[in-house]
Amino acid sequence: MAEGLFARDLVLSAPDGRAILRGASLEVPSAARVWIEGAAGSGKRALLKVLAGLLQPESGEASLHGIRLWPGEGVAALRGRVRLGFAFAKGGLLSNQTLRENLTLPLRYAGRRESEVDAVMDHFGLSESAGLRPHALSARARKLAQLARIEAHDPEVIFLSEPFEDLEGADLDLARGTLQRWAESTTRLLLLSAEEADSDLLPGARRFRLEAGRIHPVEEGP
Amino acid sequence: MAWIAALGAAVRHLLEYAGDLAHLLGRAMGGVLRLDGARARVVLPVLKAQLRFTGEQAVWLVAGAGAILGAVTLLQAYAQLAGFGPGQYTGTLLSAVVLRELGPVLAAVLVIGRSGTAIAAELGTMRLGDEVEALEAHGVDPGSYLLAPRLLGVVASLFALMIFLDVASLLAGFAVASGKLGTPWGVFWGQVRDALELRDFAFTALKAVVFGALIAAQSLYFGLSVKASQTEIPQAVTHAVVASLVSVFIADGLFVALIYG
Repeated sequence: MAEGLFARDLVLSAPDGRAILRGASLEVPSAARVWIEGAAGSGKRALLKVLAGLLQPESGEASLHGIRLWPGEGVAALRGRVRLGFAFAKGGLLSNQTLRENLTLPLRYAGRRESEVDAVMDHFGLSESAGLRPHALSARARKLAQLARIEAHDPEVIFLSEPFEDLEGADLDLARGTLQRWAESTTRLLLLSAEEADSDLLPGARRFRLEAGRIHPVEEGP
Repeated sequence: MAWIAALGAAVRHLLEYAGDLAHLLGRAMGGVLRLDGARARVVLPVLKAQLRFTGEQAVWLVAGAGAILGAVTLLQAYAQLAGFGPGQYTGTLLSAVVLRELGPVLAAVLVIGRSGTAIAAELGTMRLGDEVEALEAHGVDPGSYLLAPRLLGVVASLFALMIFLDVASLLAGFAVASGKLGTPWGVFWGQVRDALELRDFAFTALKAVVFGALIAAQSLYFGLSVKASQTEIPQAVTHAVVASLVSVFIADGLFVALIYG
């Protein structure tokens, strides 16, 4: 299997039986920057979870950097082989852990140093909230905390589900700048989902549109 | 022929359920085996929290229930056996009725009510908040971090609670035997000791492991089964309680049939 992301004929239904993916296919090389566009309710969040190995499709196959996710054990197959970062549209932070503990947990579990976490939190303006649990944080702080976790985790593949939702002003600029910095990497695969792609943010990014459960290319990057 | 199809579907559903539980237990045990130094340091506080909640914080509730059980059992027995010299049955009644049977089941029922419900609700809430997925995405094995400490915590706590319940029921039983019949401690303890066998202690430990694993596995299973809506959480809790109660009663019946039958 090739490096990068590969998915073919993914089929997924919602718990109420509504079809979300009806044969969705996608193939992008490693180090690509990819926008997944789609209207609200089109299934972008579910698609990103399937592509990251977090949600099992009913049928179809998917692999990441040559490692089979589906059919298979999903993201567990990547453990210790490919480092992943995922920013969820909502939630995604452990509710019984403080903000700092949320950031350090993946590092401590992997036996990695956590010395840079404080600097990362400071960069995202989260230092004063370090001891708070997610329910005590504002929506913007929770959103930035997810980006901070990715920054501290330094992953090779990043999935961002609606990364700019709930952000505005300086926070939005901070998030955009962070994404641009991540996109400068020549080895990192970056996938973002949003209702509309921001062409100015990541010039040359590949754009796809999720519509009626299928993925259609919008515009090819150079 | 419809009833055959319905029976077949029910059997298939039951087998699938048993398979899912076995898979979940396998993930939890696999999670334990994968705990090296760094991971163990992360998971240990989760295990301690589970032990504190399921075990330490339930001690007085379980001891109180055990005391009532021991006292009521002897009061009822003395009333029913008034003409048959009930004092001679004290040890047999306490060991056979309370220590072997009702004690472990009562401890399990209390753990289901306090901790099984909490585990199912907590895991269901974590599913809805993408917390389980966040762990998986960032390289944290839910088998090690979520399943294993809850499984081990419930089993170890249940074992400890069974002992507390037994001790409390014996002390309350002695209070009744002493108050009603004037039985001295030496006679009371001698009767209990004579009625107990070494295998009773082994089977108490075995019951703690089996009941604890059944409670933890099903509470985790139904909690993790929550998919899309908050209305699923109370349903998951209800399913966890019912399934845990039924399986504990069935397991206890099998124990009795196999060991004492």
